[in-house]
Amino acid sequence: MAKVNLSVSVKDEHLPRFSELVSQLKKTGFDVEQELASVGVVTGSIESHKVPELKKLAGVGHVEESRKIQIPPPDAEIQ
Amino acid sequence: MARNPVSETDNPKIRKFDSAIPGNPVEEIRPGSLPVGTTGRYLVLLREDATDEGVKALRKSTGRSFASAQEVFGAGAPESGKSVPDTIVYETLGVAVVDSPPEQMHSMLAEAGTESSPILHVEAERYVYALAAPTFAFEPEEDLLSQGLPSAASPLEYLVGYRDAVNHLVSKVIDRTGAADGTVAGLAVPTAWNQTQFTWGLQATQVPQSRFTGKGVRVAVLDTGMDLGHPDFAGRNITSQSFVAGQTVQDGHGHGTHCIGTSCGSKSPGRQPRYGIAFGADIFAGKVLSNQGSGTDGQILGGIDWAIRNKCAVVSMSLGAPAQVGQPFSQIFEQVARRALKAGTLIVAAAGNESQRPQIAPVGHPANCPSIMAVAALDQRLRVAWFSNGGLNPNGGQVDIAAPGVDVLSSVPRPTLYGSKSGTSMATPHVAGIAALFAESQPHARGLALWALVVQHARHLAIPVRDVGAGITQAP
Repeated sequence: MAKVNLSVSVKDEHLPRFSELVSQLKKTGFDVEQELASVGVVTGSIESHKVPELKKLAGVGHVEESRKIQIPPPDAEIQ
Repeated sequence: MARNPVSETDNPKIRKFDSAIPGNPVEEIRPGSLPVGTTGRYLVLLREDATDEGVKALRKSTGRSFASAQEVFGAGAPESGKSVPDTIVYETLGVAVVDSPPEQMHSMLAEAGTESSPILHVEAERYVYALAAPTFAFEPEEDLLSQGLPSAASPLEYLVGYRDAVNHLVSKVIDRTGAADGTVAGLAVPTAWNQTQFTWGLQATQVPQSRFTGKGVRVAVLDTGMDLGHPDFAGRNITSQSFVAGQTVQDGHGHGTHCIGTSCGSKSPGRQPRYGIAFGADIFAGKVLSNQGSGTDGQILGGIDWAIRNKCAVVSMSLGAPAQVGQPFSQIFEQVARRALKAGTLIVAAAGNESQRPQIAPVGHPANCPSIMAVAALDQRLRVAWFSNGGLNPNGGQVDIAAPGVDVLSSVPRPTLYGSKSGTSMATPHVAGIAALFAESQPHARGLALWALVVQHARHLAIPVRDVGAGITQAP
């Protein structure tokens, strides 16, 4: 099973219970990397087949796969 | 200010038209002449925290007493037949209306806008009228057709084609002769910028004239880190954090050092020209891109969270991923950006460089989020740069503002120290540095209020909003 890197946002009304949601995410098998309380986002990874379960948790807003950013090398014409 | 409707011809003070334009700051009041459309009174703008002081100064200069709007209008409109006093101060607005002969206004004018003066600005009061319904100045299509224009195209298409052909011809002539029309949107645009003292980017954004430095403002630059030992940054307040596993903040790429230089570089670098805007700001260097220039959403979000926790007023992100036409913006980044604005942090990001104009690519991620200020790049003639992305996607995805982004000189890691780069990456820190100047000028303006200040002060260009948003950013 492939693991996928995710960002999970917490709904506005659930922000006061941020830590609680982090525990719940861990229980579903989410491997937490960062708990970003100031922006209400948890980043980490999980087996891809478990993503639907994660989305059903109360308080979860949006779930997005983490995109890769790549800027050109230092000598490129445009940066 | 609308008053009892008095027509211009009733006012015996009004003479024939002269060159002063009502509404422009009064620079010269010539006794005996009055611009058409003005009442003969003056509007005086008082400093917000110094209204009382301002009124005292006005009383002293004019020898008149000022009625308070609160007293005159407190119970609603004055009784019919009772006139509104000619000298009145609107305390809530911080504006006084003065009916004094021009000679008396001179000393007030001389002081207006200086640091110690409670008077910010003086202008002539205008008459205003209800607007008439618009009438068309050109003939309807049917009439044009009957005048024998080509019937294959609609008259409107014909006119559009004609206009574009003329524009194209004029551009070609200008390019070929190297002739500049001298100014763009009122800004002097030389055919070749003199970059001895200031980079062209600082000149085009009016930075040298600004009295602000970004002092007391925290600016976070989320990028490839910083060369912390660069001599031009000695003595600066720098806080740094790496979000890249296994790499320190020390910039092994160069991009981050360049962007920090533009936004926050020194007033007196080791070598001229000056290339930095907010030279008094506190620098927060967040490494969210590796020395190889790569990063992930997670790392960027980590950097944004760090910047908010550290109360940074501005976050500069010269990074992104290409977007497709029709691709929606990231809901998570949008939500994060909204939360940032609410917390007092303005996020500015590069629109992206995928365009090869005339082919235009849409604004990339995450600049395409409505709550992130997307920055386009301009070349040295203040045209949109050939690589600069445009606002193609209808929901979100717009360009908010533009800044210099071609051949931008700034700091690079030792031992090279200085280098020129091009990209929307270079335009973005111009906006971030200027946002820091605005943040210093208005300590209570943060988040959306700071966004408004920056955008409102941009200078419009004769270029579509799709390409440059509100125009070229200008320093306070």
